[in-house]
Amino acid sequence: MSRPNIFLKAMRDQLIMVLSFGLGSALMAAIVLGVYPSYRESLSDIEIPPALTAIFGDIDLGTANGFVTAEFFSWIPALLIVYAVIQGTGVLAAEESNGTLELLLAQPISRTRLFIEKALSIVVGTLAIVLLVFPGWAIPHGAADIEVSLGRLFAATAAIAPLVLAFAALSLLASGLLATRKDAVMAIVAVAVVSYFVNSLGQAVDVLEPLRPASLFYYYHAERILTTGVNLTGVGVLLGIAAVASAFAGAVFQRRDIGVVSGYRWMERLRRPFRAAGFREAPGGGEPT
Amino acid sequence: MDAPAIQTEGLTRDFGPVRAVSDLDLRVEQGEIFGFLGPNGAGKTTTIRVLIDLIRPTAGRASVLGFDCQRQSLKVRQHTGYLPGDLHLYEGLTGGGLLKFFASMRPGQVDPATLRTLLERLDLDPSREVREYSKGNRQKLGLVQALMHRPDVLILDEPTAGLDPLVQHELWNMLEEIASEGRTVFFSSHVLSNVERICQRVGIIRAGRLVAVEDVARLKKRSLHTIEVTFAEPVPEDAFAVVPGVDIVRHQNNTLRLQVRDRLDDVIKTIARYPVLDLRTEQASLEDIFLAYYTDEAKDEEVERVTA
Repeated sequence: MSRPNIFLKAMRDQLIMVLSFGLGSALMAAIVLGVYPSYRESLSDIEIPPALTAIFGDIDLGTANGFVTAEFFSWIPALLIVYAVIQGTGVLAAEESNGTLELLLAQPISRTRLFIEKALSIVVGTLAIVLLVFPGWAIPHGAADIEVSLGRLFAATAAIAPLVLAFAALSLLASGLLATRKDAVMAIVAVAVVSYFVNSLGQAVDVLEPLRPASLFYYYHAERILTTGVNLTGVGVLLGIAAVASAFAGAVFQRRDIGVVSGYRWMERLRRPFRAAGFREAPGGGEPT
Repeated sequence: MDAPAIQTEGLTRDFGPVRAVSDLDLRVEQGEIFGFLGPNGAGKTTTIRVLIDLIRPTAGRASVLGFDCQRQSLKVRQHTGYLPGDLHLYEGLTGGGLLKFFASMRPGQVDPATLRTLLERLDLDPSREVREYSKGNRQKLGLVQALMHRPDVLILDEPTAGLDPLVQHELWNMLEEIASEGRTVFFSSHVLSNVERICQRVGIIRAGRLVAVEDVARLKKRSLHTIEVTFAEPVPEDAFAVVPGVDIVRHQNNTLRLQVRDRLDDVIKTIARYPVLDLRTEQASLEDIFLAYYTDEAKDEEVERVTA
């Protein structure tokens, strides 16, 4: 077994991105927790408009848990999913469309090994981002008296990782099945947006309530972690999805042609009826008029 | 080892409704320099990419040194060096860093001295970043990557693209040395004159089919002359058209340009029947020879298709 150089290169390639996502989120955490004590004194009896409750769930902004959830945990996970989509569709699909995958696979390394090293780089990148956030909590937490334990903040942050990994694995799978990286990105972004709103609106809208378990965000509930600790079932479901999706993605990668545009072009299909109806893409595309 | 360096049997690959490679049977022996020729889009790259297991055949099989290209692809790739026709490199690495990265995937296979010699012979500076390289230098880097582990079988897709004649010459020398060590060189090109200097055999692929495999020496022996005769008076074209092995290339005023395969005797006797003002002959290039012999085969095929 030689050194895992593909993994190491993938780590080096994503270094800046991991640092930006990690340090950016850490800065947000530090700001949210840092302003909390002064907020507690001045604005503790604020009324939350019902519309906001509908989107962010039933959050009590009067407590530290509620405040941190609303200001940090309600949107940072969604932001980190951007990392999942970039890397999930990037580590293999981008190398393929760049053409560098061709030379890489001309070397005596199996596709399985290549896939595992690349996937592993996403796992390590995700963990690194999460770990970078920890000092963002720890520093303001040490400076003031805040009624939420640091352990719970860490736990709620660490529990973002399974969610990110599930989306990364789905992105890997999508990039293997769909024709272009763009198709894959759009597909996963659509899934993520629908998922996000089904879960949050489902808390307020009865019709959507039964659909919530179909949303990946349903399995990550920051406020519950802050009050009662990590829900292992939720973590298990997300890691299960990540494992199954990557296994499929690995199998697809094993079988497919490299550098040949194949796979389903769903965006192309969507566009076709519009084109038939006379809508044309402006310059470049259609016939000269 | 007696296994052929490269062998394909009934190799077929479809892309949707398009048949890119059709029932290809090819055998390249060890120690050979084999030129794989054909126009762009003929199926050369598809065939090569099946050998490296980047794409899978629809039907048939391929092997390198007896190892199946699909089931034993790792073995195949251990023994081959590959230069893609459409070369893309990691822009952010230095030339040397790129080579080191690929060498790390072949533990124990790359000798630093070999690498140094290659860089010197191709006159390539490995300290610069790939993005700064010219097209020719990128191609050199791709070649060093393919050659540095001294592979038993070299598979090069259009290796001369972007190389200036001097470097091209050096590359031919290197390939000849490789073959003289009993290693195999298999490369594609769409320009025949490129390969006549170093190939022992050439295979011609057209529209996915292998049209001919020829010994270059024998091909060169197959004579093909171009004769340009200027007569003192108009001559009937038919008189020349009926001579076996003669094609009329051009007939302008009283000047006739003929391409003559094999025997010159008949055509000279025909020419002698008319008053000749001037006569020039040229030795045809390998390219012309090929066109003359194998477009005829293509014509025959067409006739067969029409009469069938």
